[in-house]
This record gives sequence, C-alpha cells and structure tokens, in this order.
Amino acid sequence: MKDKKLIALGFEGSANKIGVGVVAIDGSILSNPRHTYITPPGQGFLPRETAQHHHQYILPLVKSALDTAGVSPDEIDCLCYTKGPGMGAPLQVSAVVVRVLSQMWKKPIVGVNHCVAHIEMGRAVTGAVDPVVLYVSGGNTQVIAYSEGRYRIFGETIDIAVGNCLDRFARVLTLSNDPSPGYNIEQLAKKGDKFIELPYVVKGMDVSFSGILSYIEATTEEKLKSNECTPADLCFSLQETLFAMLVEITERAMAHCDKKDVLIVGGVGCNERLQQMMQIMCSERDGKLFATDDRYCVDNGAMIAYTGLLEYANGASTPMEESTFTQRFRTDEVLATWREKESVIA
Amino acid sequence: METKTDGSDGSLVLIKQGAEARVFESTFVGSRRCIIKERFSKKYRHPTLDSKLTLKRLNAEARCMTKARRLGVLTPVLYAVDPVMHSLTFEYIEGPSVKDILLGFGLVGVDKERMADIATQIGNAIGKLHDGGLVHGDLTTSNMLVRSASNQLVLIDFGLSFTSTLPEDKAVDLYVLERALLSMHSSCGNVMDQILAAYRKSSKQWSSTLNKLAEVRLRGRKRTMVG
Amino acid sequence: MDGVAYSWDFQCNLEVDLGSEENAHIVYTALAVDKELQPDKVKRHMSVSNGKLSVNFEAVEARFLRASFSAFVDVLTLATKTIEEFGPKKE
Repeated sequence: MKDKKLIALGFEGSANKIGVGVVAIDGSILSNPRHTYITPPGQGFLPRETAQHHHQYILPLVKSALDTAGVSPDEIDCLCYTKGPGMGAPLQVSAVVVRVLSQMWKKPIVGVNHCVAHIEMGRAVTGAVDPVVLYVSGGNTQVIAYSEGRYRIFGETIDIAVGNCLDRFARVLTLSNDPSPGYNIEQLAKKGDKFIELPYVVKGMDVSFSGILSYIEATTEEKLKSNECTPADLCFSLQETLFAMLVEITERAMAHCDKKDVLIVGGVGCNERLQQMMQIMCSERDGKLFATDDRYCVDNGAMIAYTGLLEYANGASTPMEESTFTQRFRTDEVLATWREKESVIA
Repeated sequence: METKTDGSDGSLVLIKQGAEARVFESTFVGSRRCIIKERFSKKYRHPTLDSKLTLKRLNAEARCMTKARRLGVLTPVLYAVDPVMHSLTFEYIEGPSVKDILLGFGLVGVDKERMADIATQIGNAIGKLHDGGLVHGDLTTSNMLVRSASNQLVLIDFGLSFTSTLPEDKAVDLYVLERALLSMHSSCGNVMDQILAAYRKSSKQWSSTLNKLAEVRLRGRKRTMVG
Repeated sequence: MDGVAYSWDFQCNLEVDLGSEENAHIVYTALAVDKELQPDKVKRHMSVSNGKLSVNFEAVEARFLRASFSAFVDVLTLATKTIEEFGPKKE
C-alpha cells in the first residue's frame, strides 16, 4: 500500500433518505450529502414512490459528494452500498448505480449491513470503544453488543420499531413529516406536562410497541374531544413511556454483559429527551453516554462508506454477481473481522 | 451504605447493584442467611410511571415467586415483603448462576452431562410454570441458579412475571430465553433444543406453545421497514 | 404436455440501443444480478448483440408482465443515466 489513505464512496438508500458519502479509512468524512423523501402529513412512505425519489436524486448526489470531497473517481478504492435490511425497491437504486460505476471505474464493490454501519459510524464519530448500542430508527429497535466476532442482538422489539410507532402516531395527529415526524413529536412533547398512562411492555430484554400504538390510536380522538389532555400531553406521555422502555432494556443488557458505556445510533437517537434519559441512567452506573447529532444518527452515505472500507481493508469485497440487496439482513449475520483485529491491538 | 461485615450480625452487605434493585445479603430472624432485594426509583423515568412500575414489580415478584413454588418449581422461600421500602426478603441460595456455568463451559469446554442435566431442568421448570398459567417474563441465564448442595435449578427474579394462559405469552417467554442463549452462549452448542425437548415432555400444552414460538421467531425476522 | 398449471401466454420484447458493445455489457451485467422475484410467474431473458440489449419477458398473467416490465424499465433508465453521467464522454 502506498502512502495514500484508503478512500471509499458509500451509498445509502434503504428507507426514505438517499445519501452518498466520501470517507477515508481514518474515519474522516470528506463529504456526506443526502436528500430526504418527505410525504404529506398523515402519510407514510411507500416503496415505489421512495425508489422514484432516490432515482431522481442519486446521480446529482454522487456528483456533489465527489465535488465537495475534491476527489476524482480514480482516487476511490472501493464502492460501498447498503445491501440491507430495508425496503426492496429503494435498496435496488443504490445497488444498480454501484454495479454500473464499478464496471466503468474498475473499482471493487462492498455490500454493507445497514445496522452495522450505524454502529461503526457511531463508534468512529464518538470514540466509544466497546459500548452497548441502542439502535433506534423507523425500521429497527435493537440493543446490541459485540461478543465473539459479531454484533449480537441482546434485546429488540418483538413487533414494530419505535420510530414506526412514533411516525404512526404523528399521522394520527396529522403532524408534518418535515423534517421528520419524530422531530415534530419531540417539539410538541416539550409543551406537554400531563402524564397519561399507557401500556408498558418489557419482556426480558425485548420490548413490544404494537399494544401502545393501538391503544393510543384508539383513544386519542376521545381524549382530545373530552379535553382530558392536549396533543402535546399525548406526545409527552408517549415519549416518556417508549423511551423509559428503551432505557430499561439497555440497562438490562449492560448488567447482563457487564459493559459500562452506551452508544445511541439511528434516526430516533437524535431525540434529546431520549439522550437525556439515557444520560441519567448511565451516570447512575458510572458509565458514559455516546450520542451523535442528526448528521450521523440519520441514515447517510458516509456510514456505509466507512463500514465498507473497514471490511475492504480486511480483505473483503463483494463479487458483482453477489451484489444483491435484501430486505432482511440480521445484524448478527455479519462477521465483524475488523473488531477482532482491534482487540488484538488493544 | 456499604458495610464490611459478613452480614452474620443482621447487617446488610451489598452483593449486587442490579438495574432496578440493590441486592443485600443479611440474616433473617437471627440465624437464617437471607437476601434482601430493594427496588429503587429510577431517576430517568417520569415519577408517576416510576412508582407504578416499582410497586407493580414488587407485587408481581412476591406473588409469582410463591405461585411458582406451588407449581413445583424451585424458587427462594419468601420471608417478608416491605411495600414501603419496596423490598423483599427471601432465602439465600448457595450456588452459581447458569450464566456463570455456561460461560465457564465456553472457556474450558462443555461438560455434556452437566449441560444436559441443566437444560432438562430448565425445560421442566418452564413447562410447569406455563401449565400453571405463569409466565416468567425475564428468562435469562442470569435468573437461574443451581443450588450447590443438590444441583437443583432455582428460578429467581420474578419482577416481570404475570399470569397468562395465552400461547402467545408463553411463546414469547421461550423466545426471550432463546435469544439470551444465542447472544451470550453461542459457544455452548444448541442448548435451546435440549431445553425445548424437556419442555415438550413437561408441558401438556407444548404443541400450541411451540407452534406459536415458530410464528414469533418469524415475526422477528420478517419485520419490514415500511412506515 | 408440460404438466404445468400455467402457460406463459403473455410476452413482450424490449430492445435498447446503448451505443456501444461495452455499454450494453455494463448494463446487462448490472441488471442480471437481480433475479425476477416470482420466477414461477414471470421469466426474463436478456442478451446483448451489436451494442443492443434485448430483453424478453414471459408471464402467466398480464398484471405480472406489466409490473415486471415497468420495474425493469425504471432500473434500466437508472443504469443508462449513470453511464451518461459518469461514463467516458462520447467522441
């Protein structure tokens, strides 16, 4: 290897954001533009429309990522894309562009697990070494820790994701989806103070949110009509309940696998109330909370580039005929080879 | 708070600071070695939610621990409940946790005979609980002890337990255990299969529960990201 | 007499001129990776000759044909746009 640092171009488009990032192996982010598909209030995003959004934005994003980074295609060592999990049609957009670029630029491809990418980006940005990871987004809710070569899932939702629960409640209140439904719930919750009791479902290190969602969906109209509470009170109570469940299972996982620190990643991880609650729990245990802001919490291309680069530097790449995408791709399916090397050095 | 005595004079020795409770060793009415488990309030939770959960779990633990014994599953004998201090006093069990035993197997190799014995006891115990309409709610290897004197399995930590006869609840109970084994003890081989084999023999309703378990597993894997 | 309940009655062909044999191969290779999601309902056959990509679809019902064809055209457009944008500029 020459003096030059390895550089990757990464593509992320597994949900309603399309992002392209340029990253070097030392974790420095040279560019990371993205665009979000925002649906009208009361509506979620569907695969076909989301894919069309990604089609429209992906090539301009590649151009802008390269221009901002000041990097030419020749200087790139590998092309990384999100293999899964996520929605099929949107995932395919990144995969197809990467396959074409790979042939034209003669660069290898690295398929990346979206969840692992969130973790690695979070570790790189915050400096967390071996934390328990709470990964919370519109599609995922997992408590993860590294053990024996893999990121293992200690706790997770047994039905819907926490972000999905928040998004769907935002639809009940027809809150705006701009910049995101969760952000608007968070702002409204700051004005609420009356605590409405909601179901609280923790099973071991797992949680369930579907019961809370159906309860709040079924009772919101009546509670608001009878002036029992305001929409702000409901946002406040929902956040307090959901986040208490998340902090609880994170703490259980910490006790179970003897780890001191917590890293929060994923779109819901930007929520400041969640961070605050987690911070209180961590300081009671003499641990540290590591969290990032929306540049890295929210899906982005740099996290895919960085994680792909870690794999590439350890000799992994994805042959063209295997550069598929998959809606289901468990976090613990990935062999985190780079982590093993880290622990040898440590 | 912490004292350096061994607890034989009735004083408290902190032996574990758990997520929701402090666990002390002490003595009960003079000479009996006992455990005092004191639930404390969690500052990150809304006070209303916190006091509701603390009380609910204290009651669940006291009630379900006793009910489990009636169903023929070994649990520590409950000596006292203090709803003001949110504490329970119960029998001290001398012996390692299943977690420590399995982690030991991970390091030095699996003692197959002992593994089979423990797995069978786990399957039997859960089968008895479930047939009696009791769901443990937190089946991890940390919550199972093996009494040194008799090698008998003792279940602890019933704070998340509840009564239910629904196959769904029982299946999730098993699913939680399966995932705990997978994430912590993957080097011990397929312990869950051995546990389920014993569960089949022990529970009369095994068939509906295990069918449901297959469904719950699928749900975990099939979740989509469509908002 | 093939013993299959369905017959592949619905067909359509698509031919795209990609300007060069190389481009045609790039698109072919990129799009061949993703298999049809319901191979028992839709079959897709692709080939390249003289800088042209030929695609033949066969389906057991019109709606499957329509869905597959439409999805394919979307990714085909994306692949060709990527070449136009980032490929070697035509002399």
